[in-house]
Amino acid sequence: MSLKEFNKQILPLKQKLFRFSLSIVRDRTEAEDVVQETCIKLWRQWSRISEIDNLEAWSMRLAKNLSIDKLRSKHQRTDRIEQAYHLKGDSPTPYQVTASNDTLGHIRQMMNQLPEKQRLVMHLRDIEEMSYQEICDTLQLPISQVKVNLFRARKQMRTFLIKSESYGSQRH
Amino acid sequence: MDRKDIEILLDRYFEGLSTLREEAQLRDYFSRENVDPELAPYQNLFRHFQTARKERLSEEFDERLMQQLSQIEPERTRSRRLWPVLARVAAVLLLAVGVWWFYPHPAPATQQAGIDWSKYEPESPEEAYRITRMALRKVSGEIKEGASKAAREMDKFQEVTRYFKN
Repeated sequence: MSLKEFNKQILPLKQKLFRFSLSIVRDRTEAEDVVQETCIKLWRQWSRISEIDNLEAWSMRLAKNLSIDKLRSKHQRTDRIEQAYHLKGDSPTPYQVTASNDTLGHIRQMMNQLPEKQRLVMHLRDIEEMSYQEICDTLQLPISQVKVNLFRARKQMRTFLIKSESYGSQRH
Repeated sequence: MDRKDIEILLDRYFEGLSTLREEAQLRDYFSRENVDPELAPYQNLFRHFQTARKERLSEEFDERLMQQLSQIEPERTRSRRLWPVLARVAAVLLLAVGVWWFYPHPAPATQQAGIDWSKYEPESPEEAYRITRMALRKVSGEIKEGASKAAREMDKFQEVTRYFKN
């Protein structure tokens, strides 16, 4: 297997891996490092890649585990919510461009406060537009768990939207 | 799609019942500028999803990654890497067989003499009946003796009780 073949199969996944990692580590530089580490690990095991049934799900799981390791090693889990949408980087990100709208910032913040499983399921479904089966394969969860977590996440988001709307209307 | 249709889709969405197609319809509706004011709060949620989907790696990422990968040799296949393990297992087995072969084996213990019960087997049904009857009679005698002994002890006990009452 050549590097050319690796590029053909893995590089199309890089943005998805990046967004997934970003939803966990919430830092662009660290998410890029995670994608790089994921690619390096995949390249090292490239001779055995044919034994893997679902390469995309495998890669996503690898990125998830590396992201969680990174997060744990820096004890960022709880104290980064405040910084969640002030992303690092030289140039403004697409999010920063649109985050001038307070509500979008609050939505992002609210999503970051969801329990990990709910957040990851919601990310994969609503941002990556993945099917339930793809989410099951990626997170190694039964379909019932995926549905329950998605339902709870959306319910929580709806409550937040209703609350913030009534607060907004009181202010005006 | 009118507002009512969107509300139905939104309910399905928040109940976790919507399909990917229905969710695409919602994204499409909320990406417009002229969204019904009543539904405006939900527009931000779908806008957030669309914005998050536009997140991209930096432009230098590919170059940096290729530089790294070109310096790394992928691991060899499992079948090749299994050889050293198999060689080690074979060496251990060979050693174990060698040790067993050269170690002095103790002679097996002599068999203990047993009781030849066949000598005591009754030879005819009549003999078996006679032996059984004898055994039952003996058991019956033992029981009878036990009962009379218990009666004697009871008499003694009653006598002692009478003495204390008086």
